[in-house]
Amino acid sequence: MAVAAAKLKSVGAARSPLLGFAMFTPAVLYILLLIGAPFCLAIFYAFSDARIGAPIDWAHFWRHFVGLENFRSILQSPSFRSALKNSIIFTVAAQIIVMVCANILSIALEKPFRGRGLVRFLILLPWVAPVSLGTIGWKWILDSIYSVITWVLVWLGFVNKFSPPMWLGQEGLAITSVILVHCWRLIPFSTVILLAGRSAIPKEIPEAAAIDGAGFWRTTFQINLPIMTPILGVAVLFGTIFTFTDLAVVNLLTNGGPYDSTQTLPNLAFTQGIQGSDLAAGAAISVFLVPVLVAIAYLMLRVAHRAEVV
Amino acid sequence: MATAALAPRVKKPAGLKVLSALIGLAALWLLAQTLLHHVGGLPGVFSLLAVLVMGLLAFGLWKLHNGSRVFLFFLFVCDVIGCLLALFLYALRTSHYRLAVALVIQMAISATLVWFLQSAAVKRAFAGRNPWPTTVKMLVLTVFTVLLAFPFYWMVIATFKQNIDLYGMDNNPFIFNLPPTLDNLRLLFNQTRFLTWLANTAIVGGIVVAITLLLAVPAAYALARLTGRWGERLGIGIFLTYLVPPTLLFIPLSRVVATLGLQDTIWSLVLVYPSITVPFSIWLLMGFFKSIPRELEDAAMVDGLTRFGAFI
Amino acid sequence: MAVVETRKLTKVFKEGELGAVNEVDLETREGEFLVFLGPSGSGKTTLLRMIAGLETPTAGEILIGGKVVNDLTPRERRIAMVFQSYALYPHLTVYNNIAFPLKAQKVPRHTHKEKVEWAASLLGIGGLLQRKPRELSGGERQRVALARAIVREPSVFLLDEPLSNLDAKLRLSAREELERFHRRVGTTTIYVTHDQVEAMAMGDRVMVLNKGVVRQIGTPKEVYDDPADTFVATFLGSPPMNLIENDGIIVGFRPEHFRLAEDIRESAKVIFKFRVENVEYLGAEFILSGVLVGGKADGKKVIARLLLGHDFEIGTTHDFAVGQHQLKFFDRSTEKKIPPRSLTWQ
Repeated sequence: MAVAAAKLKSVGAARSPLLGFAMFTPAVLYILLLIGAPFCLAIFYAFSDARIGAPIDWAHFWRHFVGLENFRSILQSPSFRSALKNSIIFTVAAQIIVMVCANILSIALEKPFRGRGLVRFLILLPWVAPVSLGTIGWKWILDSIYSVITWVLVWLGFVNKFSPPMWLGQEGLAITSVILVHCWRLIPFSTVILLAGRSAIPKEIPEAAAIDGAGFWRTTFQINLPIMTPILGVAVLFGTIFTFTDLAVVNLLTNGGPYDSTQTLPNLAFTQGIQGSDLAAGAAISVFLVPVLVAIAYLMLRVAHRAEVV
Repeated sequence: MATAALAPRVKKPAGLKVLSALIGLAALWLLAQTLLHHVGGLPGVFSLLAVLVMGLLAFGLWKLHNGSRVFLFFLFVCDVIGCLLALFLYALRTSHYRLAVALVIQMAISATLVWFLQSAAVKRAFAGRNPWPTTVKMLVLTVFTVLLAFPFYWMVIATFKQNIDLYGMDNNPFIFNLPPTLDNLRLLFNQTRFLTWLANTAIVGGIVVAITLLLAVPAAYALARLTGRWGERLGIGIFLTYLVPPTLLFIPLSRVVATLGLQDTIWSLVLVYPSITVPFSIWLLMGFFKSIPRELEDAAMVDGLTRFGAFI
Repeated sequence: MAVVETRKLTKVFKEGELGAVNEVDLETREGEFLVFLGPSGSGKTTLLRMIAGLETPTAGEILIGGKVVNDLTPRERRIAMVFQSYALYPHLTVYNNIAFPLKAQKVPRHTHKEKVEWAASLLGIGGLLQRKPRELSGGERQRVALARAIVREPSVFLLDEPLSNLDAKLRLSAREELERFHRRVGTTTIYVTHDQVEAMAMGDRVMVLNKGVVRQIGTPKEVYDDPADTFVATFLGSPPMNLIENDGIIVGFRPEHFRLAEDIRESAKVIFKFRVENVEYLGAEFILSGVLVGGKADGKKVIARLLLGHDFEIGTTHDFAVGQHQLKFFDRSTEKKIPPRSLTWQ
């Protein structure tokens, strides 16, 4: 019986490399064709003179090379400089706010209580709803004339009814609005991740801290958060990716306005590349996303690796 | 032998009995008012709800139910905060001094009740539990829930609001000032191709899910079971492709789609969406497959299935 | 050094059901090593956690050093606890783990180093101070947990099954270390376990619990030789005490007292015919299981424990006996011990 089992195992094992290969080939093929190839194509475009409507002569593709010309022209454009600056500022600011809020929320949601299911559902809505739905909702809520927020402020007496703030029209307010809408979307996502991280802390550790004499603040900052560092890292990195590469929020809320004060790299790439038909410029702008993403990918691997080891 | 241990009798402070009696009486008074004045419709419903809540609170306090005490605590703290805010943000700025005095008095009453519910006698009756952490937690959750969910509330209400109601600048945006209407929905369904779009979304969604599963599940299984460096490397490589943002890819992809002649059709979506879903699904499923113990499959194989059969 | 006392301590988790802990009265003696012994679900860990302040009692009082501590937080009770998993802070070095209670209690900074080193040397881990918990073995982790507990010089030690995570070989040496540690430091210690061997070896007194009720408190000798009811009688001792019914009374005798009739020298003994059905040779002893034949106890299963020197064939019947003074008697309905009496066995 044992011999038969061993034999079966060896047969099964011997056959598995072939089966395994067959199993993941379709996926790998798809990824190569629809992610890998376009990626290389994008890099190529960045160094070429591609335009929509002027097809690339693939037989003589080297004739399309323009070297660093695209990069030189976008670096000189103030829109681009604004977009680069904003992409970074929005991402960093949003992450700081989201981390603080998500931590507070995850502490509040840790222990079960009556109605927790309903509260969790309501809190998850911003993330679960499609980006466009939430953003369009906010577009109206932040409208210059009909804004809900303006109405509340007028009612409280803070704001004059006849000169309401232009939430998406004034530079400072627009930047704040975009950052806050990003936060609104990301807080539920980060809260869920942090909740999982908190529940992974063995129950006895905060108890030991309580017996050792630590109060709420000390336990949170000196024990819980340090133990959660890998999960915090995962949440921050995912959040950074989502904010940095986001197109929908900026495009729908302000489309870069007013005067490029909320312009971001993805939005600029879309505006110039597709709507402006300048594929090469769009690709060149998108290429600037790559170094940041590579850095993030590297950090994610380090963090995820440590999270599994500990 | 198997009798339940009786909860021993604890002394109920007199003040607590008085408080719960007062709340109970207030509930009855409100109920009487609602019924006598035939208050109907929405305000009627709200007032009946208030009666119910007050009744439950009074009962809970009487029976020394800790949840009731905490909730009452929470309400009084909210009252104090609300009065403070109203006082400084409104009454004093608009010089409504009489209102300001009324607010101060109400705040004083609430503060006293808060202090009372915290006092030693009451604390002992409720087995020494501190209501502050729960109250703070409830405050935090209320604030966040409102901030995160109110856009959806507003959107739902706006869907059913008449246009005049929406555009009237003096109208409270949170309630229906004019009766709700189905006009907007009628517009959506009759004068736009909404149903077509809905169908498209469903079709595209369904097909993309199917494609993703077909591609990702076998791949994840193979990668999870494939021991050795290559399996790990490939898995990580696949995860990294998830980090490549769509915004980087949409430019070349738009050319690919145009070349294939698929622009203006939903098939372009079907082709392109899996590029986002497949890497993530593979990564997620890999982790899941790794956690299934190998012994289960080995047992299945010994029982006579092939490896593929075991996988299914 | 303090005395821990509980008065009618009760914990009910679900209304209407039997409590996890039911009206437990106990009082430790100064400096003693008291063991809470019981099967899983007996309430011993819940009892310990209530004393620590991690669970609030439904009723009853807890006193430490004569003061009612029900309303005090764990920190204010000046107790130290070692958990089953040791609960070392994984991100801190051993030094910082031990120093954490000092920091949390705002002990003056300049005394930290001295105290940590004192605690570490007491447990022989001075060389491990810069390591992290994941680099330590099971035994080393226990020592770090103890050092962290002792560094604050608490009045009571609470230990929740600290040996159950160690493998068998390590358990013995770790047990000896704990005993040695207690002798050196002398703090009142409460130790929770389900292992009766540990309880007998380590305890000054053993408190046997079942279903949240105290069955007996006494020295190891008292609970073993003079059990208060059938639960204590069968829980302590491996293999468990043999119990047979006779005339409405439950009679018990330990397997090691059940020997060949000719080997028992006293004249006051009860003789049984014992048919051997299984023989287990354990090296240092034999375990014989079988049934009694004939008389009132006909068909009852009993176990005997004998030292080397006898060979028994399965299926053979022998004359076995128990000394009269080694019989224990229990009431059949209450299961509690009753005074000895003479009974007929034929």
